[in-house]
This record gives sequence, C-alpha cells and structure tokens, in this order.
Amino acid sequence: MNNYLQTAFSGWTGVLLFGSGLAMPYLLRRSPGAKALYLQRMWPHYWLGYLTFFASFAHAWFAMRSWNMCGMNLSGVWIATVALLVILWQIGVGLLLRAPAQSNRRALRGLLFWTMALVAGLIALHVALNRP
Amino acid sequence: MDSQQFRINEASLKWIIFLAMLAAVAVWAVRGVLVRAQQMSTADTTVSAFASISPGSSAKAVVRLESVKGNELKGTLLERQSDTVYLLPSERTPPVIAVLTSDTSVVMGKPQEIAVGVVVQLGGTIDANHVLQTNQVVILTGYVRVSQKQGDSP
Repeated sequence: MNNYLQTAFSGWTGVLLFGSGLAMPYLLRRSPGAKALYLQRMWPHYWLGYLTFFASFAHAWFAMRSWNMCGMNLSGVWIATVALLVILWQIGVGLLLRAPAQSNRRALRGLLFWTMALVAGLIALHVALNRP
Repeated sequence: MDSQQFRINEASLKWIIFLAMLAAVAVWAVRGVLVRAQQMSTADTTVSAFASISPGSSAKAVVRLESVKGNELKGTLLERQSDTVYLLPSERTPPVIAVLTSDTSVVMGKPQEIAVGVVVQLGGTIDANHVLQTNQVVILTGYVRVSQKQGDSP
C-alpha cells in the first residue's frame, strides 16, 4: 500500500504542479503596480515547470520500482512515458523563451502553448487508463 | 463601515479563484487516493486461520483464482509477505471456495477481469458449507506480486 500511496501522491503532485504552472502566465501577465519585468515575474512558472518534471519522474520511479507492471494498461504507461519526454522538451522550449533577447518569441510561445495542451491531454489519458 | 475595505481587484480575484480551484482539486485527489488505499489494504489471513473461521463470520482472503465457473470461484489462498508480495503455499492446501452474489462489488477492476490466474482479495461471509459468500472482490493483479514460498518443502 505504501507503494501505491507514493505513486499516487507523486502523480497527483505532478498534476497539481503542472496545472499551477500553466495558470501562472495568465495570473502574472497583468499585475497592476508590478515593478519587475514580465519575464522576471514569471519565476514561479519556471520553477513549477521544473518541479513538474521531477514529480513526474518520481511518479514513474515509484511505479516501476516494485510494482508488478503486467497488470497495468500498457497504452497508459506508454502515454505517460511520452508525456514525461514532452515535459522535458517543454522545459527546453521554456528555457529558450526565458532569454530576453529571444527573437523568435511569438513562434516559441505558440509552440509552448500547444505542447502544454498536448501534455494536458496525455496526462488526462494516462489518469483515465491507469487509475486503479 | 467603509465599503472600500472589501473591494477586491481583478488580480486578487484571479488568485483567489486559482487557489480555491487548486485546493479543491488537491482535496478531491487526496480523498480519492486515501479511499482507494483503504480499499487496497489487503488481508493477512493464513490457511489455518481461514479454515477456522466459523459460519456466519466475515472473512477476507487474498487468493489466486484457479477456477471460475459462473459465479463460483476456486482459488489458492496466498500468504502475505509484504504489502506487495504474496506467497504461494509450498504444500497443497484446500482451495478457497467463494460465490459471487448479487451484492458483490468489484473494486479496482471490472467484473470481466475475474478470471483464472488473477489475484483477488475476496471479502464476505462464510456460510455453513464454509463457502465464502462474497460481497467484495478487489482485483489485485498489477498491485501485488506472487512468489513461491521457499524453505518449507524438503
């Protein structure tokens, strides 16, 4: 049961971190009276992104460490694996966007948004397929 | 009283809504996990303890199903080694016989998953023929591992 608790809580922590991370740009975009620049104000978004990856990695680690995976829905496991890789890719795109001198900002922001939408869909599928 | 004190600006309102939604999802998720963890808390019933349960008493047993014929299930009682590891008895033991009733609920799986080879926790009441009248079946395949008990046989 401890394995289940570790796996479940790390998974849901990842979901909450991901959800919080994607809400940040909308919450921090227009802050009246904010003195810092937008990219500087976005530090919670960056850290929530990194923490999402680590929580997802921990979730995968707990799930694979001692569970018998033969009873799991394999499609769900593969979807989760792809989601983890896409989150890593998203961090890379985010790091490019953090650079103030980034000239391709518009295209990268679009890419980041649609990557986020893809990850959200993959997470929803993974939860639906692998939730006990 | 000054109504200016209670005015909430748009940014604060967005944060309040966000935090309320976050808290609601967190509470829902934690509650779901704890309910499932409670359902998953597995029995530690030994062969001798199961055999000595008197008719009318409630019983729980983790078994590997050897036969599924309609509503009648037969399985080998597994002994718990840890939360996730159960041991097959090294010696031949009398099978656990159980009957699915109209009140039986299936947890962590679907009724179609009740098949030969599946590890389940059966919960219910022992009848006069020492058959378990099942009211709950928890599908444990995927959550527990079955190992062969070693060291008891010559």
